[in-house]
Formats: sequence, structure tokens, C-alpha cells
Amino acid sequence: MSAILFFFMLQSDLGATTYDKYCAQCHGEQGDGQGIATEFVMPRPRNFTTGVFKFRSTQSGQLPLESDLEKVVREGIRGTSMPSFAQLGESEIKAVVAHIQGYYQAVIDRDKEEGFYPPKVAEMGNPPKVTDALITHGREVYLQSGCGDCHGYEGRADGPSSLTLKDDYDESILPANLNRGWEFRAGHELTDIFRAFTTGLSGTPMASFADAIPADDRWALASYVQSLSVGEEPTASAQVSASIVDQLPESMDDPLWDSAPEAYFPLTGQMMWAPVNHQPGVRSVTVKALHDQSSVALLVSWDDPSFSVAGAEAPGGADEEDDWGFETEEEDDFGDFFDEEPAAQVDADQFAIQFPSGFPAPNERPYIVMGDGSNPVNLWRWVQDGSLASQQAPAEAQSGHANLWTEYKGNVSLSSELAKGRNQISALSDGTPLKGSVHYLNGRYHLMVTRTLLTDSEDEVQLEVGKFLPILFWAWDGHRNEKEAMGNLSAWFFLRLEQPVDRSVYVKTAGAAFLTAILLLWAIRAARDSSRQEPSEVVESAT
Amino acid sequence: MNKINWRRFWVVLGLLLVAGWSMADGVGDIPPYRQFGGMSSRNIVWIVAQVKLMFAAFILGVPMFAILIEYIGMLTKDEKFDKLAKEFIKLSLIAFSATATLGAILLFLLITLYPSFWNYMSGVFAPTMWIYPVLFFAESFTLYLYWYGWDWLSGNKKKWHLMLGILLNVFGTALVVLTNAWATFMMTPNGIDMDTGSVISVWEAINNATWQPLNIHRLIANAVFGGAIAGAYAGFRFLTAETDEQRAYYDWMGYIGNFVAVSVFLVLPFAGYWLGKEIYDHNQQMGITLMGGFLSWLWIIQAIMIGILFLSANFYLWVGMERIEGAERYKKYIKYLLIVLLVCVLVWATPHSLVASLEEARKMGGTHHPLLGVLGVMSAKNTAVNLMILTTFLSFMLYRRGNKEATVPWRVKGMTAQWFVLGLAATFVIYLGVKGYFVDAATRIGYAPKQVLAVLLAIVVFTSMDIALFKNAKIVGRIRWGTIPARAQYALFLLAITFCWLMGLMGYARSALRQHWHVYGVMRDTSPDAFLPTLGQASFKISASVIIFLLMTSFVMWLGSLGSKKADGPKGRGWKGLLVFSKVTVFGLAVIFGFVIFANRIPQVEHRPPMELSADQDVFSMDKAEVVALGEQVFYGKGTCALCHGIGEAGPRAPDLKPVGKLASQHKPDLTTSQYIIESMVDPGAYIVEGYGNIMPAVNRPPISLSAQELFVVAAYLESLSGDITITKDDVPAQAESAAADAGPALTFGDPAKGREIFFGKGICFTCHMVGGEGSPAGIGPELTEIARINTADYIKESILEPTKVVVAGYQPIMPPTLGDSLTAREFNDLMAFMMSLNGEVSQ
Amino acid sequence: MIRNPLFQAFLLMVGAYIFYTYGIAVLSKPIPSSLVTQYMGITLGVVFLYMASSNDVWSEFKRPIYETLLGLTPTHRTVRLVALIAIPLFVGYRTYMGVKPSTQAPPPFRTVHPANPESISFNGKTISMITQANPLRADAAQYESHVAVGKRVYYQHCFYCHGDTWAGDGHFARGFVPKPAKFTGDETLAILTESYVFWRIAKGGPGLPREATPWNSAMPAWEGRLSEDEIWSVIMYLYDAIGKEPRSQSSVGEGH
Repeated sequence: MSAILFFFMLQSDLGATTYDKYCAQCHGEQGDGQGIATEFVMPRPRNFTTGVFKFRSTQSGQLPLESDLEKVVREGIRGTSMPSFAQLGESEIKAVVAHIQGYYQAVIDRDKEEGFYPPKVAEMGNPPKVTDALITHGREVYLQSGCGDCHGYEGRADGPSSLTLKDDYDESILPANLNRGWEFRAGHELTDIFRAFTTGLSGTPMASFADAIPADDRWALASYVQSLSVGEEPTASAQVSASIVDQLPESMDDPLWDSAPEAYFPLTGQMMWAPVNHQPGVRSVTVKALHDQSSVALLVSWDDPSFSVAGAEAPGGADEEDDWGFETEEEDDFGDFFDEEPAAQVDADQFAIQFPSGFPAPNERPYIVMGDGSNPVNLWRWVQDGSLASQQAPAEAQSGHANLWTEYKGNVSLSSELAKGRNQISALSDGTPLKGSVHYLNGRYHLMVTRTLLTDSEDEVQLEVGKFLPILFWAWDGHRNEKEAMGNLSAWFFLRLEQPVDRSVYVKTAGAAFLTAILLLWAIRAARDSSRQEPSEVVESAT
Repeated sequence: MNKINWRRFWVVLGLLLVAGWSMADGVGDIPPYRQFGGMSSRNIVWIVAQVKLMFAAFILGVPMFAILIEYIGMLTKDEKFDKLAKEFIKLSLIAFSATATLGAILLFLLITLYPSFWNYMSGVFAPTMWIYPVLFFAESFTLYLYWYGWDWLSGNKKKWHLMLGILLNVFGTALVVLTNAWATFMMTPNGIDMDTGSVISVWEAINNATWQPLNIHRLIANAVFGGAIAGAYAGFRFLTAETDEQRAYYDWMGYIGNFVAVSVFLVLPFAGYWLGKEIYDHNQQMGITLMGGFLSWLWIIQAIMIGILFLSANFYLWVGMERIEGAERYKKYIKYLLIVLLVCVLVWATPHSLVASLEEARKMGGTHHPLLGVLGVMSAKNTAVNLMILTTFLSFMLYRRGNKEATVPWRVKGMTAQWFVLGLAATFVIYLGVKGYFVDAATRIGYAPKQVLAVLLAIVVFTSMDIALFKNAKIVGRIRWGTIPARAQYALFLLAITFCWLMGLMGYARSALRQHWHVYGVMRDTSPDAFLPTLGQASFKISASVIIFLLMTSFVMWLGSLGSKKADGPKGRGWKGLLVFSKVTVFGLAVIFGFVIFANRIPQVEHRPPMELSADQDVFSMDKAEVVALGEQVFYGKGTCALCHGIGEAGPRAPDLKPVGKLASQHKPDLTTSQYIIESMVDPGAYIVEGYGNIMPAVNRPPISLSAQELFVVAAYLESLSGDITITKDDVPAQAESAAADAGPALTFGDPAKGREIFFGKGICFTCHMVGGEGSPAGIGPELTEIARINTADYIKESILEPTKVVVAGYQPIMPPTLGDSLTAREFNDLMAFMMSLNGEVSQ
Repeated sequence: MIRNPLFQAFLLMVGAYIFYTYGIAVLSKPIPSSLVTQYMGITLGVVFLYMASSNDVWSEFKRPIYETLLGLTPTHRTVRLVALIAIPLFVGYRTYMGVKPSTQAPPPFRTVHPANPESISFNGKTISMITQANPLRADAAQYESHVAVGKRVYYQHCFYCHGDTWAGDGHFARGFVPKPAKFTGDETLAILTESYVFWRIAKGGPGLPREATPWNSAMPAWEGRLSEDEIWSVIMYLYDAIGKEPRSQSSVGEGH
């Protein structure tokens, strides 16, 4: 008896100590989501005392199972600050979940009284076989059910109402970007996606569709959503390789671009200098490059749910009567993308490509945040100035959503800047040979930049063919008031301009082969000589 | 090669002349460095010192075992041993004058090219530098006496001859020990005032932290080196020998050389560990440079070379078994020994962090391989080297019993016991090696000596039992001296070349440890050569030293053989000698080429001295980017400028300095930008930006005391913020250079503790000011926590007595000017003492 | 043919190559080509030594080569002809691969632990890297409160890169090359003195010595953003959290 009691005490003690060591910094010592790190994580940590949990296997409105919570502790939540604590071991995980349940004991008691406790597992059924027809059907369900109103026409969280969404705390929340399956909080498996439609994500605008959409359609929808992306984030490329073309493409629609390999680079919020960006708005870029030995063209693409021109009124933010706290909080469906407080006014979207200035050596890289006094960088920067012409969206989009999606397209001007640190940026003289064009559609930016390989200014980067040129990417989402050093950046990678194989390579190759042949002939001759001189000692004399 | 030698000859001749001039000059300023033509002083000294060191190692190492062999000869009455000892001494005799000449060249090079350094070293070690020539003199004469007295002191006078030999070794060892003191002092200086460099105790300077470890390390290494070179000499004579008798003799001599080299070599790694440990214990910075930092890749080359040494030594023994009748019984063990050696060499040469492209690194999950990364740490390395030692020992033991059969009645039990001892030692070594992964670092370090002890103990026990076992053993076959295959001789060459190169490599490592210091932490190398070259570049210099040494050695040996030709045998072997020599040369060059290739394939890092200002650095002609970087350092560091100023934003008390380079024309049109900036620093009151108080101290005076060089770099940094750098040396006023020196003493005669009471009491200062978080938080008056760091006593005094004269921007001129009247003189001094103690570090 | 040492050596080398490239990959993870080359070099040397260690094996080893060179039989002559063509072609191919413009990014090399300077200037105050111990450890009674301060600093400024469990895997770590430092294990904190850690935190990537380039480190210099006490506190917290002791200063400072 006493042994059981002791074990029980040990258990609860284990839960408390584990919680204090690993959980309290974010979720608060009282389980209220108010820890010392609360402001710095994305999204805001769960407040356990409300008993509202997003990721459940239970029916809408009910509490999660213990196994649901254990799964989150064990595996973490993808795309958020919640890491996997698998290394804690099963007994600790069970103990800490028991401890956490203590924080919403009141909710458990209430549900018990109302007869909702223990919670009931939501009906799932069996997943169907995914076929193209099912996916096509899912696409229809997607548009007909209004998913695109929030998640966007192509699923990039750019739907017309996405910026006005609020969570239970009446704070702004963005829908998931369905093109980034690795950030689906509850997982990218077909059943994970289906479960999210079925149970809903409590506390967010993502409601349960268990009643509104029949199960078969939900499976179709799930297969469509799953088909939009992969479940694991692509590995960062090591370099952008630019192959040689006779003539650089005039525009980003040129079919020449199709043959260029695409490089993927993750971005993070700038965390090295204050003010830091804890809630990164742009999380990756893809890059292609081509060159014709005198100029280089780069085609960069990144997701941004909002087209932001500086000074524009922020949707959903302007007519708020209450004064918002300085911290943001929002949760959302299985992929709440960012924590964002729409300010009254937005800043401009921006993009920049950073190189070491001058002739870069592959083994010398300036400090990644815009270099420093002794190692400056050259920035090629585009700032959204509202000059892009808006156009009709593609025909398909017009069916039923005629005025919801707009396309922006046009030539833009870029500036070349010399930076000696984040706050020492000076524009380089005019006449820069940078040319650019931008295309924005369905939550995705495409930026094409061309420049001559060499310029007259020694502060600008000089691109040499065949060299590994350090390159780094910056992106700013104006809607999230990202500007100056508070942006998103990649690590240093390489840009490599393919080099035509020159004649000396063939000369060296032929030379080596020829010398080897001579050596072999000499060996044959030497063997013959020695056998002639001392036929009996053919073998011995070699030593 | 000849060409280079000639060039070197002219260089040396020229240097001697220069040396003569500089002595004739007598008084006058001695420059810290001289260059010779377009050549790098460092490279000349490097190569000459390395070649000299190799010669010295040879002439000190050879007599060590010559005397041993002579003693064995005396005991066994075997003429062969006496002849061998004599031949060894002949070798060292002919190398002796080359060593002395090289020593003189090195000395002159140091005096002429590094005068300040040499001046300092001779100042510290003056007494020992008198002892050195005396010892050298004594050694030379003992050597002559030993050599020429060989026949005279024979027979029953042999013991006197042996005494002479011992004396020779005593003198030789004393010489090494003495010069080691100079070399180790440069690494781990001792017995001096670390700030001024002045001598406190010469004995302490000699007895520095790494002196004894290096003495031991070098004595052992010299013996190995002597053995290896003698072995290679024998190998060459074997290949060119005309008669069977000669072949038999030189075969045997090569065997003895190899035996000496390898058996002494077995303990060398332990001496190396001791030296490394002393270095790490003495200075973490050096330790990290050596093991984890700049030099970490060097150990991979070293590992490959040590692998070659072990493999070729074993190979020589195995091939040698071909000439022992009866040894074929043991040939079947070779493959097992080789497998152990292979595994050990692979482990030994596995780097901890691997050279991998980004894709490769991703595939293995980082720069450390999950499996092989484990082999990169000390536990694995120690285990591998101990097992290699045991294996090599075993090879030798098998060789030794090749033609013998034990006759003692307990032979089966005895041999079983021997195997048991060996197996036990190996198991223990592996056990500790594995256990090393599961304990903390301090315990792990303690395992290394235990492993060594186990191995040494096993060797001693095994050998003692072996001696007893094979007493009166039955000889089952004879040793056919002279029938060893030629390829075994190449193993001897490989051993000698690898050892030479390894010695050069370790010389580089030991010198590179000092980084940009002549005397570590005391005397900085400010010459253009202060950087450390990459391993690839170093490999060329090491190779040059090795090639020069081997060619010179071949030459003196050829000279030596001229005299003995007639006695040795018929003439007419010139062509054969030349043929063998060219074959061996091609082989040697190929080996060295291989080392160079390998050294150039691993990551190349050049160690540049840190960008710091030192008193004798010529910042005025330095690269602009470096000047700016230095200026930035001073701005945020010693200059404490950022306490008041901001860059790109207004500071707490003073203007934004980002546009300062453009403001000169607005503020002071008659000054250039650089003149304006310098004036603002040395005479801050000359122009006050509107809205700010005249509170800035002259930064070339205490407490900040920037030197002229520091003023220069800060000004250059400020200019670089908004435009081009235009400042030149002339813009820095001459008086700025001396201003730092005429610093008045800070007020110290008051009692800061009492002053604190006045601050928080009678003086009521705390009602407006804050100090270290105490006082008025309302911000009525400026925060004073760091006032002594950013301003002078005069300024503080003035601010107390005439508070409205200078008012910090953003504050009201409301401080009452009555303190001077209300406080007594003593109280005022106490308050001042308290203010001067406020340097940002609040005392409770 | 199986008994011939030359053939056996060839088989051994092929086996070794398969083991180094595929075998180790199966057992664990693949090893980089630089290491395969090194291992193959060592193995080649050892196999060669084995073949040369006995007179009989050595002559058997060389015999086929000699016979081929001399062209004793028609078969030998054919082999010789093939070798005469194939070997130069192979050498040419290797040369071509070696000298043609490289398409693979150079390996990111970094010095694991760059040597620290003698002393650093922290906000104008000189801190010796050789003698300076963590001043906050002097008062053992305050240990818990310093660790608590350190924990706050860590979770406000460090954990988003260095991770909740100190393993260098915070939620921003995905964007960095190289990855943020991992504090657990035996390779970082456990073998460093606290003054070394202080230096790395205070001066960050920009303060690395020049031989450490290209470090690529995104680590900021915290000198301007954290106070001296905050840095010492976070160091105390880290050692407390990972359960390791810092390398001691006592043995380091001798003689200076």
C-alpha cells in the first residue's frame, strides 16, 4: 500500500520536476502559457488552464485523450517552437502529461458533470485509395466549400479573408499555407489531414467540418490538400548553379527557365541584432540561375500571403477599436503559419540578394547580417513601391471568385547597395546595371534579376565565371511590418556560374595519358632488357 | 639542387658581410628586422635552423649508441661490434663540422635578420651563451680524442676509451639541454617580468614549463634519428657493396640501425604526450591551437607518417626473417600482425572532424561521422598506438627467436605465459580505451599513462622471460647475413626519410605554437612574416630542409668513403654507386613528393596574427580594411567612445558619429575631414555640436589615453562610415604621441568609502544622480556609474565646483554650485576619490 | 588464378573499397570521399607490404606483371595491348575529372575550436582568458539565483537556435549552415573553460580569429546586448542544465 502511495508521489513529483525543467519556460509555471520565453516562440505557447487543445483525436468540443498530449510531447509540433521531447523517456512523458492535466482539472470536472468526460474519439473510418480522380474531386470540394476564402486559390494562405481571421483570444491568426506540408502541425499523412477537418482545431477559425462535409468528400479534400505539397521540408541546396545559355531569357515566362535546376534555401528570422524577428514571415526561397558569360539572370520565388505596398491600410487591422498588446498570439488550424498582428499600416514587401563586395573568395565570407566595417557586402534590393500593374487573374480563378484574386506583373527597378553592417547601408551610384521584373499571383512572388557579371564599381560584387561565389537571400513581408534588419535571411550558400571547359583541360588530360603510355613502354623495354641480360634472374633483379 | 645550394652560399656569404657591418656600426638605432633581398627572413632562418637541427640530432644521437655498441663489443669480444661503433663515430665526425658551420650561419642570420629578438634573448640568456661555446669546444675535443684514440686506447685500456665516450655523450647532452632552454623559453617564458620582459632569474628562465619535457623528447628523438640515418647509410652501402663480406657487414649494420631506431622509437609517443600535456596545462590558448585549432590537421599528416614508420620497421623485420633459417615457422603470423597494424593505422589516421562537402556532411549528419567520429578522439588514438607498439615488439621477438629453439624444460609453460602477458596487456589497453568513452575528461586523461605502463610492463616481462627461455637455446639454423633482399633496404630509406620529414613537421608545429610571438606573450613578432603558413606551404619548406640535409649528408658520407676506399675493396664501383644513388634519390623524392601532395590536400588555413595594436606596429601603412577594423575595435573597446556616441543613431550623451566624415565642411570649413576628426578627439571643446554639452574628455589623455596610432585608426574608422579614408600619418599631431605620457596621477588621497557616504548623505548628490542602481531613478541628473571611465578628474572636479559651466545634453542646468562651500577640503577629496572609483564596476 | 598474389591483392583492394564506401554506409552513415581516399591509400600500402614481406610471394606477385610486360604468350600479349590502351585512358580520365572545372562546392572547413586570444576587452574592461574564472561562482549561496537569471537569458536570447534541450536544434536551426553549437556531449562545453565560453558569447561570429574563417558563424556578438553578469549567468545555467563541469582554470593558469 505504502509502496503504491510512494510510487504515486514519485510520479507526481517526477511530472512536476520534468515540467519545471522542460516546459515551464514557455508554458508558464502555472500552466497559463506565460513563461519567460512566451514572447519569443512561434506561435504563442498553449495555455493549459483553458483546456482548449488543437490537436485531438476526439470529437469536436471535447478534451483530448492523454495519448494525444503524449504524442505532442513525444513528437513535438512541426513548424513551431515545440520540439520533440522523445529523449525524456516514456515514464517522464506520462508523468508530465498527468501533471499538465492538473492545470485544467476544472475543465475536466465540468465536462464530467456535463457527461462529456471521458472524451469520445471522433469517427475516422478507413482512408480511400488516392487517385487522380479523387484529387480532382477534392479540388472541387475545396473551391465549393470556401476553403480558398482563407487558404487561397492555390493554398498559400492568401485567401481574401485570411488576413482578417481571429482566434479565441480575438487575435489575428493566419491560415496554413497548404504548399508547405512539412509545416502541417498535425502531420501530412492523409489521416492527419482528414482528422483536422473532422475534429476541427479548437480555439481557431478552423472549425469541425464533420457535419458540413460528408466523410467521402472530406477524404477527397484531404487527398487534394496532401497532393499540394510534400511532408518533409526539402534539403537545403549547397549552391545555385547557373548553366551557360546563348542568350539570357527576356522574361520569367521564357521556357529556358524550365531547364534550369531549382535550388531551395530555408530562411529564418533575423535573430542576431535587435530588433529581432521572432515570427518569420518568409520561410524559404527557391532560386534558378542562368548566365551567358557576360550577364547573369537569377529567378527567385517565395511565398507571401499578402501583396504589401508601404503605407497601405492593413486588412482587418484598421477598424479595431481595442488596443492590442505588444505581443501577438494566434493559433490556427493544422498549420497556423505566422503570428501576426496586422498593424494599421503595412510596410513594403522587399527582397534582397547579398554578396560579398568586390571579388569574392569562396573561403572568406562577411558576417551574415550585412557584413561589417572591414568586410562589406553588396545588396541587390527590390522594394515594393506599388508601381506594378494589376491584371485580371487567370480565367479559372474568375469562375465564382472573379474579384478575389489579382495578379501583379511588371518591370521594376532594383538598387545596388553597399552595407558595412546592418545600419550602415549606402546606395551605390546610379547607372547600376541591375534589371528586374516581378510577378505576384496566388500568394507567390517571382523576381527575375539580371546584371552584367562585372561592373565599374569596386564596391559591387564582381562575378567571375567558374568561381564559387558566396550568396545569401533576404526577404521582408511588409504586411508583418518586416523592414530593415528585421527581415528573414538564409545562410551563406554559393552561386556558381558554369565555366566552359577550356583547352588546357584537354591538353592536361592528353598529356597525362601520353606520359603514362611512355612509362608503360619504358617498363616493357626495361623488362626486356633485364631478361636479355640475365634471363635466369628475370624475377629477382626487379627488387 | 646544386643551383639552390649555390644561391644559398652567396646569401650566406652576403649575410656574413652584413653581420660585419652591423657590428662595425656599433651604436645607432637597430631596426627590429632586416630583410635580405627579396627573400623572407623567416624562411631562410626556418630552413637553416631545421637543417642545422637535423645535423645536430645526428651527431648527438649516433654517439649514444656507438658507445653502447662499443661496450657490447668489449663484453662479447666481437670485433664486429667495435668496428661498427667506429664506423658510426666516423659518420658523426664528418657531420660535425657541417653542424658547426650551420650553427654559425644560423647565429649570424639571427643576429642580422632579427636583431631586436636576438638582443633580447642574449640579454636573458647571456650567462648560458658563454657556457655554450665552452661545452662545444669540450665536445669537439673529446670527439677527436675518442676517434683518434681508438686504437691507442684499446686492449686493457679500452675502459678509458669508454669513459671518453661517456664524457662525449655528457657534453653532447648538456649542449642539447642548454639550447632546449632557449627554445622552450620562447614557448613558455618563465623567470621574467611578463609585462616588461626584464629578467628576474636566469635559472627560472631555463627551467621553464616545457624544458624538461622537450629535453626528454629530443634526447629520445635524437637517438631514433641517429639510428634511422645510420640504417639508411648501411642500406646504401649494402646496395653498392662489391663483396659478400661487405654485404654481410652492412646488412648487419642496417639491422642494428633499424633495431636502435625502432626500439627507442617505441617510447617516443609517450614523451610526446608529456610535452603536449605540459603545453596544454601551461596555456589553454596554446593547447587549443595545438590540438583543436589551427594545428589540428597537422596531426593527420603526423599520423600517416607514424603509420609509415611502424609499417616499414615491421616490414624490415619480416623481410629480414627470410635470411634466418628456421624463421619460416613464424611467417604465418605476419598477416595477423599486419591486420592489427592496418586497423591501428586506420584508427590512428582518422580525423575527428572530416573534410566533407555539404552533401557528404549532410549524408553523415554533420562534420563528425557517427561511427568513425568515435575513432577521432584520444581514447581511440592511445589504444591504437599502444597496440601498434605491442605488435612491433612482437614482430621483433618473433624475428629474434627465428633460428632458435628453447631447450629449457618449462618452455611450453613459459611461452604460454608470455602470450598470456601480451594478451593481458592488449586486453587491458583495449578495455581502458573503450571505458574512456564512458567517463569524464579528467578520468580519461588518467587512463593514458596506465595504458603505457601496461604495455611497458608487458614488454619488460616478456623480454625477461625470453632471455631466460632462450638461454642455451638450440640454434636450428644460421643467419645468412648479406642475403637480405634489396627491397628491405628501401624500407630503411623510407624510415630515414619519413623520420627526417616528421622531425621537420614537428619542428613546424612547435614553432607555430608560438603563433605571432617571438617569445610567447612577451615579445611580439611584428615582422611581415608573423603569420603562420598553411600546412601545404610549410610542407615545401620542410621538404626543402629534408632534401638539403640528405644531400649534404650524402656528400659528407661520400667524402668519408673516399678515404676508406682502398682499404674496403677494389675500385671501379663508381658507376654502380651512381646508379644506386640515383635510384635511391628518385625513391626519396617520390616519398617526399607524396608527403607534399598529402599536406596540400588537407584543409589549408593560414594563421594571421590578430588585429591588435601594439606599440611598434606601423598602422600608418597598413591595409585600409585592417585599419578600419582596428579602429572599430578601439572605438568600442579602449576608446570607450560608444559609452556616449552612437553610430547610425544618437548616443546617450553625444551625437551620432556616422556622418562625422561629412560634417567637417559644415562645422569647421578650414579643416580637412581628417583634421577635424582628430581635433575633435584631442581638443573636444574646439567645436561643440548644438544641443550637446562640452563633456568629452581629450581621448589622448588619461583615463582613456589613446596613442597616436589608436587616434589614427579610430579616425580612419569614423571616416569610413560615410566616405573615403583620407587620413595620413601627418594628420595625427606629433604632440598626441607624447600626450599619453604626461598623465597626472589620479586623485587617490581621499577615501572612497567616506566619499560614498557623502554622496548618499551630506552632499545629497543621490537625490538627482544614480550610481550603480542606487540614487534617484528620476533621471534629473546624469548617471554616474561609469563617470571615471569616460572622463577626467579635472572635468569631474569642475562639474562639482562649477556645475553649470558644462551641462550634459538633455539635462537642466539645475545643480547647485554650493558643494564647494559646504564640504570641507577633506570631504571634497573623499567625494572625488569616490567619483574616481566609479569605473563601471560597482563595489558593494 | 585464385592462388596468385597479384590477383589476391586486387581482390583485397576491391573488397576494401566496397567496405569503405558501402559497408560503412550500411553499418552507419557513408563516409566522405576524402576519407575513402586516405583509407584506400593506407590499405594499398599494407597489402603491398604483405606481398613484399616474403620472397616467394613477392616473386609470384611480380611474375604475371613481368610475363605480361615481356609478352611471353599470345594471351600475355593481348593483355599487354589492352593495358597499354586502358591504363593511359584511365589515367587520362582521372586527370580530366581532376582538372575540369569543379561543380561541387568546396568543403566547408572549420577549425573546431579556434584558439582564444590572451584577453578580450568587454565594454572597455579587460577580461583575461587565461586567469578569469566565473566571478559569479564565488558566492555559492547565490548559485540558484544566478542559474535562474541564466535560464531567463537563455530562453530569451539563445534557445531559438541552440534548442530547448541544448542540442543546437532550436526552431531556427534549420536555416543555419553550420548548425548552431550543440552544448550537450563531450565536444563543446565539457572541454572548455568558462572564460572561453564567455569569449565566444561576447564576441560571437564577428569576433572569431582570422584563421577560423570561413566560419560562417551567425552567432551574434552579445557584448552590446547582454551585460557581463548576464553572460556569466547564462554560462552557469548551461553547465547546470547539461550536468557537466567546466574545464578548470587552475591547471591552465600556471606560470602566467
